Amino acid sequence: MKRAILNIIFIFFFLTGNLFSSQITYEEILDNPSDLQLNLNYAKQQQNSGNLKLTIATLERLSMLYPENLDIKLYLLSILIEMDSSVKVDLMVRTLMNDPNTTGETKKVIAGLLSNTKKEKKEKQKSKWFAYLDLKYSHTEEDNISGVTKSKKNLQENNLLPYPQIDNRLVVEYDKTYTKAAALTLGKNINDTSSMFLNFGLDSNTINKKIKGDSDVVSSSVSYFKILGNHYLSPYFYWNRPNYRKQEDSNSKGVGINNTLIINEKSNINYNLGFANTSYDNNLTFSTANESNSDVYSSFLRYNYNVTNKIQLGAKIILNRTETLKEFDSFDSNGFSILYSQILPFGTLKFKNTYLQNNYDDKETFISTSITRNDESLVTSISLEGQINQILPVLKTLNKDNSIFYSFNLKQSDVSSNIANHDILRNFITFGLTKRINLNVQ
Amino acid sequence: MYSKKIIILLILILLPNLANANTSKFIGVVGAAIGEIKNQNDESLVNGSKIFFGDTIISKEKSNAQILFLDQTVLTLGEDTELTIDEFIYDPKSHEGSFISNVKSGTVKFITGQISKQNPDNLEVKVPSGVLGARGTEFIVLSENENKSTVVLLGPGPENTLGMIPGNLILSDGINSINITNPGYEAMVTN
Repeated sequence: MKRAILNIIFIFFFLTGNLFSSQITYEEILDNPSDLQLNLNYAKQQQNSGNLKLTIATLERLSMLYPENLDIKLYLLSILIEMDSSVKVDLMVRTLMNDPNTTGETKKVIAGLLSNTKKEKKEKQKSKWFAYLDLKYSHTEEDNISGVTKSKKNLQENNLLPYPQIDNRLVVEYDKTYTKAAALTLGKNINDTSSMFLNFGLDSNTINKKIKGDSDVVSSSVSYFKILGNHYLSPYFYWNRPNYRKQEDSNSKGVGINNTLIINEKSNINYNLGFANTSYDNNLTFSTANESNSDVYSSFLRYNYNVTNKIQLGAKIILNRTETLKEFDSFDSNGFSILYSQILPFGTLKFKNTYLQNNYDDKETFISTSITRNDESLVTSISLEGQINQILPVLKTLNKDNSIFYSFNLKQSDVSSNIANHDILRNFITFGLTKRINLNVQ
Repeated sequence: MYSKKIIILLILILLPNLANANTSKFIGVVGAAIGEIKNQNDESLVNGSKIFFGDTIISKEKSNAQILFLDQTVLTLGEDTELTIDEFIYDPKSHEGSFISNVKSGTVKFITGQISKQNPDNLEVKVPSGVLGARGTEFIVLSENENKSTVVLLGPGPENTLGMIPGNLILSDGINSINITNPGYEAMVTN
């Protein structure tokens, strides 16, 4: 239908003038910018050679110069529709509809053009996939990788012993971890209000000095996103498979919902309910690894308030339950978190403070026969993230498509426990770079 | 003594030429002039009038105009608009150059040309509330007053069937930058 309409328009111009004459140069147009035939020929030639910008500019000029000529306007409208410029199409249609010269026949042609485009767009949107690949490198420095206690002592069978002598191994405190990661995200727009995402990731973590802990992690997730009025719903499922060197391997599966309720322009509530199961692999080296299997029930409720369009404050209440085969490893965890974030010229600054209280179900008798473990943890972090050219404008040439991101994070984890073994202070500094590659999937 | 005189003489000879080089350089034409279109000397501009480096183009009430530049950049002025071309350097062979325009008031639609195609950073739009580094196929700049300017991306959209690269407008006020990828979306620069 659309093709037929376009053909009619082109035939009109063909019959009314010498449309397909010799190649017209831009210089000729500069000399004769208002010549109807010459400029129409030029618009068509530019359209044929794919230079739509000049076609549009020429038709707009002719439309200004010959406002009574509806065929020029229809020709321009057909190009604008194909250009997917909704603002211009709306304006053009409104102008044409209000034009007293627009006949009923012309209105039908306009309606035909628009309805065909809508159909084509719907068909296209239905099947549209998009994808991007994130390649990340990060470097973390930690001042207490082995978790040496604040008192430098460990409780063992009710006795406090110096920490390094517990298993006669070298205890590394300061260390570096290098992470190389790749994550592929595939997304599909199902309709105007819903979409789904698939994510596949592979991380490789190398620790500099500490013997245990190097790992490769394979991860995957699937999530669905649905807008229902002012409610954004997002159920998700994930599966992770870490492969640790010289440590038990495990796999984790999790399912949950992470929804956001928009209250008004300034505030929203984000809430999450989740369940995760971690299963460890038993083998000859780790014959009782599965005793550490755990189920975690997690939930939080977060209120976000936009102070300005660049500053956001957030407050979160957290309630979790962890269950394992061992009662002394099962615990309730509750607490709160506050978040401050601000968009600055060089990136987004975030300050986060999370306080958690962990109350364990039973005593770990080979450590203490009288004390049931209770922890209080305070995790404080300051992070800055953004485009690399925000911190170094000289890198603008390297990051023309704004696809290279940096992140810088300072974190302190301060756990106070009534069992010395868990009374640990850790400080982390992380610097990361991510390159995002957009992949076109149709 | 002689050398001083020679230098003064050279300056006297070169000065008018340098001034001429800047002010009389032909950079484009008025493609369409509807209503009352003037330049900085209050001369009327009509279809086909030449535009020179440093010219100010003023469209009065109920008037509009389209200006075609040598690098194929096309500007359309709405009514009550004042636009100055602060810089226009263009090499037709390499298509490289620099284009700085100043939208003092009113509405100007930009269809970018070869200068922006070669290096989008070389197209700069000054507005009363700041400077915009704008890259995009087609966009509108509205200078509402000294404190507020708005930029709207027009297209092409991501669903275009013409094989065109979707429009992407990156605006910068010198400190912050924002990326607009959806036609119809706008950004404001305020003082």
